[in-house]
Amino acid sequence: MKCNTCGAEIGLTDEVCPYCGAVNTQSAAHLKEMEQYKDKSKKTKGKVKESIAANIPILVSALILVLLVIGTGVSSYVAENASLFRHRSSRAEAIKKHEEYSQILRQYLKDGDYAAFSSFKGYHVIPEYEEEYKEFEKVCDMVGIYCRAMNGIEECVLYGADSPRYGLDSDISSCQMGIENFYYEYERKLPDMEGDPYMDNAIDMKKKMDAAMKIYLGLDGGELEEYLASSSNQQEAYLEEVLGNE
Amino acid sequence: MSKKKLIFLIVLAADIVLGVIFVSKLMAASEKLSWAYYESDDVKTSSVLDYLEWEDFGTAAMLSRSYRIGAEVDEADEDLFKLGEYADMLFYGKIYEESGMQQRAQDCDARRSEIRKDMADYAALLDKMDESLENAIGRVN
Repeated sequence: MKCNTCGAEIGLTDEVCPYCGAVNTQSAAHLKEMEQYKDKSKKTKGKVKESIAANIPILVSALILVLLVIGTGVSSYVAENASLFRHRSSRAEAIKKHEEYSQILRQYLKDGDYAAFSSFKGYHVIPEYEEEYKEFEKVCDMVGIYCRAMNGIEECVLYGADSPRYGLDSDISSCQMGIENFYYEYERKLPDMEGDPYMDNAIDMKKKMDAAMKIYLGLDGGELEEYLASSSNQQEAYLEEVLGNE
Repeated sequence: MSKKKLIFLIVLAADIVLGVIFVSKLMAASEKLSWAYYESDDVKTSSVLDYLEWEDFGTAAMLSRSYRIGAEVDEADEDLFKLGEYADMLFYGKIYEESGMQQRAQDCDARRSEIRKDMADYAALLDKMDESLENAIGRVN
């Protein structure tokens, strides 16, 4: 056989080349040693494979655990913020459909149906502060105040003879606050609405509020002025007298 | 029991517990995302029904207002919202009349007649609503 390094003729049992000193990788001893290493390596690989196989269930379970922790966290976050997501999506849609919705809002204002205006605005999460709905910004504010007052009156006056009238005291109290707030804010905000396209609607709201005060609370002209000039407690006492249990 | 087996069992138990929590959270999230307006606490059908049963027509009217503006409601419960709408028409019809908006007042009356016609089964309740308006006006006059 020949040396792999210098090419000289060497014996099969020579462990090194007698000419150049290079290791004879084809020698019987070397091959035997190699066989032993291979065998050892095979055994080690087998042990590693065995060890991995033994740990696979734990690894898989741990992986599932990690995924479940992430999934639970994400689900909790979505559930907690669902209303925010919906709110944002409705608002985005309201901006997208602003021409159609503005038309509907204008019609409600034209009809003087402020309750419907307020419901529509709330239902579609219309952002009056955005450029697309800027024309309604001031009137929206007034409508909100008007509706709170009207809702308070409606809640207190429409009930059947057999009604248990749960929460009457708080209803009367919120009715009084709503009315007081409306007249106060009307006086305060009307000058700001000078030049606003919907200023007439604010005036109309006052007209309707006066009508409601007259029909449902028996306050007209001088009586209404007197009522509004009285203290909050006196106003509440009057409403209790008119709207309280008979 | 070997250490490995013990660890495996602990992790498996944690998987099961967390799996149950995950499924419940997932269902809650999906339910909340697919929520409909009329299912919210303040306008859900059961609330409207409660107020109608308590003859608190004013509150029922307010809760039904979303139906009037075209909000999606459960078809089976549409009648309840119509009853609330009737009360709302009563309340505002009188205000329109008093503030000189005769056409709007007539529109409210027309809508009330329509509801009355559609809901003959509820005639007694609608009569009570009419009565409540008369009482409200009579109380101060």
